Amino acid sequence: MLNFLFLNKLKPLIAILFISSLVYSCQPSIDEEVAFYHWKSTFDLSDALNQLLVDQEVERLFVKYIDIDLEGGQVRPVSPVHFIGTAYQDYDIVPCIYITNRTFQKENLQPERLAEQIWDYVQQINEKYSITPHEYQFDCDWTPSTRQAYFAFLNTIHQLKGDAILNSTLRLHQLRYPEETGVPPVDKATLMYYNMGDIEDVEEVNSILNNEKGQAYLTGAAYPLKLDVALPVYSWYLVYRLGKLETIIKGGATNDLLELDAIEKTGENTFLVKQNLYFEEHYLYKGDRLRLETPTTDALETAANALNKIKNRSGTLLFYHLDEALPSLYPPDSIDRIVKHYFQ
Amino acid sequence: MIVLLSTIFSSFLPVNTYACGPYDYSYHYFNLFVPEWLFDQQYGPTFATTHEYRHIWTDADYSQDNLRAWNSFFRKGVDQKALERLLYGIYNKEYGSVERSVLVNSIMFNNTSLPEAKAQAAKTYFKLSLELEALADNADVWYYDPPESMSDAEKEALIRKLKDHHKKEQFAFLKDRYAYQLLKAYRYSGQLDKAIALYNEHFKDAQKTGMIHYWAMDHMAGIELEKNKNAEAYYHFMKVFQECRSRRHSAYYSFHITNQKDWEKTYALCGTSEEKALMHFLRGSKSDALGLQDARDIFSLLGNHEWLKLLLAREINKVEQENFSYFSDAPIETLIGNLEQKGHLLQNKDYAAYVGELLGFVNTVYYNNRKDGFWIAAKAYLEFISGKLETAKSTLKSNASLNAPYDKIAKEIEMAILIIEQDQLSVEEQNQLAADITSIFDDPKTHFFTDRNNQEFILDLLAFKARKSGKEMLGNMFARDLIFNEKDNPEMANVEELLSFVRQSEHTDLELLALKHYFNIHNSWSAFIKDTVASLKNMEYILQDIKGTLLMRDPDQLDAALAIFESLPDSFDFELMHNPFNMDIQDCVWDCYTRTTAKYTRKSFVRKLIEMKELADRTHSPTDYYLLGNAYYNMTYFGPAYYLMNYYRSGSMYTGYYDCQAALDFYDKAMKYAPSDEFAAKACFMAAKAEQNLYFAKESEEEDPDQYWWGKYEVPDTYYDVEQYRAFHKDIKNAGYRKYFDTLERNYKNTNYYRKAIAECKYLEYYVSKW
Repeated sequence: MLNFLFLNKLKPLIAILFISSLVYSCQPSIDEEVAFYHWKSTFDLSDALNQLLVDQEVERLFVKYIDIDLEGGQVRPVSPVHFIGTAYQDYDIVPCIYITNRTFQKENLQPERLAEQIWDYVQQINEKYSITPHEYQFDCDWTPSTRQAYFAFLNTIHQLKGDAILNSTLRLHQLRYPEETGVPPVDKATLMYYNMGDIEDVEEVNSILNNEKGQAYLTGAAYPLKLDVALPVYSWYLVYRLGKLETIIKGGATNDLLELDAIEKTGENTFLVKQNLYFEEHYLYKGDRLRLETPTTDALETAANALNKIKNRSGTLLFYHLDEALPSLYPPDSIDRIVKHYFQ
Repeated sequence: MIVLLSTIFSSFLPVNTYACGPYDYSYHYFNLFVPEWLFDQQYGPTFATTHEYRHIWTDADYSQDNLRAWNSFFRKGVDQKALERLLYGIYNKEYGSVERSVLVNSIMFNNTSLPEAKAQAAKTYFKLSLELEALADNADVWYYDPPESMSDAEKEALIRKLKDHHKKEQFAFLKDRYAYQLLKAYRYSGQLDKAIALYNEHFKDAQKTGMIHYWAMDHMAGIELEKNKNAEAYYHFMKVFQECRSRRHSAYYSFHITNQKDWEKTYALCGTSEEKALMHFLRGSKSDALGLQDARDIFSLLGNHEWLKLLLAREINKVEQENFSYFSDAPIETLIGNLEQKGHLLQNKDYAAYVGELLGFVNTVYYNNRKDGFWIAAKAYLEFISGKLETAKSTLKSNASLNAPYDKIAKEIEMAILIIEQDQLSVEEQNQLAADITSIFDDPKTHFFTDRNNQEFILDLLAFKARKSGKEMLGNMFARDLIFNEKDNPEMANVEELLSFVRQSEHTDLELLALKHYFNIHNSWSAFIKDTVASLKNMEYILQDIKGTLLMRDPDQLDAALAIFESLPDSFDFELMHNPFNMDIQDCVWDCYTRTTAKYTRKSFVRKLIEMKELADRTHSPTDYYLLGNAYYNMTYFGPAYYLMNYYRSGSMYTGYYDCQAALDFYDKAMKYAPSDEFAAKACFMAAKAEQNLYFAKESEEEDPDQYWWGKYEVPDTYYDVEQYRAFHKDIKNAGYRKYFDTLERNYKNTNYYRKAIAECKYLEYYVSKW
């Protein structure tokens, strides 16, 4: 009798759970995929990195082919990729082309012509290494003043790409304010969920990943394009000199610094240079303050939890980026946990 | 990158370019420690206040060293313009369109005074050098794998020819050049070991120190980098920087040591203290460096050396760049705020600490070199920016007889401290400041140049202090305001205040300096100050003229305006280019058709206005009211006689007197007393024009100042935007500014004037057709 009454009371809840399960099962399934960026000019995978990719069943690598920038007032390809060995042949390569915003600010720039030049250059690389991409990604932090040129550029690429998918990166503010920033004329976009803090601020805790700031951008309506999502798995030192950000030293870990007598630890991830020294190809000065920034696995799990709720996401979760330090910074189970949270 | 730079910079024919190196368009900050005052111009490229090392490219003395070298060989025996184009590849009007190979083969050696053998040898050399350019030239950057510009066989053939000529060449000058070309050929064809062997064989001899040897050394350094012999490479780049000014720029940027091992190994190669000190100079002078420790090292190696002073001056200038930016809302207020709140002029405690360390070092050098004015000036300046004003004054006082150029820095500091410390400057202090501002900043004509940031600093300090003590007008004068700005949109209160200031019985020299600049008086300060009575009187005339013009805006003040005009010298009167009583249906400002031949001067015209107004008011004469309306309309911004009421007319915004209310009032009276409908219709139409301009003025005043086209209402073009044009008519009617069109249509529709107006005036025609 008691059990019956109890069940009666639970009826509405059971009904809700039942309906919820129906709704959940009716959501369109997504093809879950983990992929990585490779952002160096020499592609030469170590055994450790290769193993990491195998463990994660990675099939696609987003490889930066070139930077496009202004040099001497002219638009030029910079730091083109060189593939070493044959490991790259095991992966479906997505060429990524990073274009500085100032490129599109160049006076008298013809974006259509630039698109042809870049496309031709990228095909030269494809041809040399016998790569047949199914997708291309263009990365540019466009602004209102460059939007028109960048979108005209993408339109031309669209005409050149054939059946391949055209992908453009998307910053958080572009996701949140599509009316102001415009929606790029591409097939899909990749939301870069990093570099969201104030890098200039010596007091900032972590400018790479700040979930509080990041989640504020995720509250809008569904973005009109399918979204891949990219999470940061890298670290860097920010060097502040005389109160201002002077330089960024990419990679590195706390131990690197602590081995040096001239360095004093001043906080959990902050350091003070006590006398001039060379470090990682930079000459540091007495009084320089360094902040080591590395997104923690916990913070990345929180990010993944928030991102799995965004509307219109695709099934691709990207990690930025493949680096020799990656396995030590993020052991395999860390990556697993983050992935699990994103696809749960 | 370094190798690439070395390659580019070491090519046979140097060409001026802006393509490489740092580039900054603006160095606008308060720069009181002026390196151009302190050092010889040869050190210019190392000044932090200039565009880093950039201007070495544009300096003919440096880039044309190669031309000089060739001329010493040819003894000017070849066509100079042809040689210039050949070497630099640049356009000149004599041979700008001629291919360089044609120059060599057919032009340069025609009619030469050179001996045949020498001419032939040079010709052969140039032809081979041009061939080599194809090997050295960078391919199209849009090739991932650039195609070879020469086949291997062609490269080898070229190298064989160069070797052959190098071996046989009789002229030592050309033999060196062949060796240099051969070195490049080996390098560009990837034969680095042969290049090194050639360098060691031909150029390594320390006795050979000509320009081409250092060009070869520059290549050698690039090759050494490619071979991972970093220390040797950096040492060679350093020697090139030291000895070869035509490769100094590239060598400076190529000297980029990134680790302790390379630093120590390069240091070990240095044979002298001077070379070691130069390494410290090169490292410490980089734009992102803190040069203090390297300065200490130079001091311990060489003592009080010129490089040490250059490095310290750079360091001080870098502090100025980061802390004394001119581009902020209130630069002086910020600095003074820092001084009051933090005790120094600097932006943060890190800078304060660093400047403190710099000062500590400078004190050490100062006490070891008490006679050297540089260290006195540096010490006092660092004390000043550290907020130690008393110490700075004491430093300068105990070194009162400073020689040029350090005395100028000392004066700047003294002036700045005086202005900052004193709320009220004595007459003597003000007089001394005026003398110093004109002499120290080399500004005898008191132009107050905006590119002299140190002069701006002193003037802005004076402006800040004047405003703080409630003397806004004087503050504006120190802040480089000019009478022209007041004339654009004059206000009676300002004019009265200026008049009162000018009419003061006594002026300090500083006040006179401010007035001289404000009134744009071009003679020298020394001439001006000798006799200021006439100048002050002339200033008073100028202000009276503005006052009279302002009074004219009110028809009831015409008598007062005339009295002023009649008190002015004749030169202030002028003939009118138009008869302001004429009026047409269509507005006309420029090149208007003249219907009458009446001639007026300003004074005679104002007398005429007074006479007509008196008659109109006494007799209610509609004609006089109508003509007065025309005159007042035409003297506004909208009429051809605008210059009677305005000193300036902007094309992009309404300026000065653009208020048509006085004209409208006269037209109202003309309508009221009109003898006929025809006359009333004419006056009514003119009133409609005045009413419309009042609307334009109102709309413009209400525009958002952030809008690009702020300041002048533009009627939408009916051809391009019909909807906007319609909206304009609707808006002006709804705002109540079409009353006279309504009156015209309601009361005077049957007049001839109405028919004429509607045929000529599209606004009227549109209005009556729609509403």
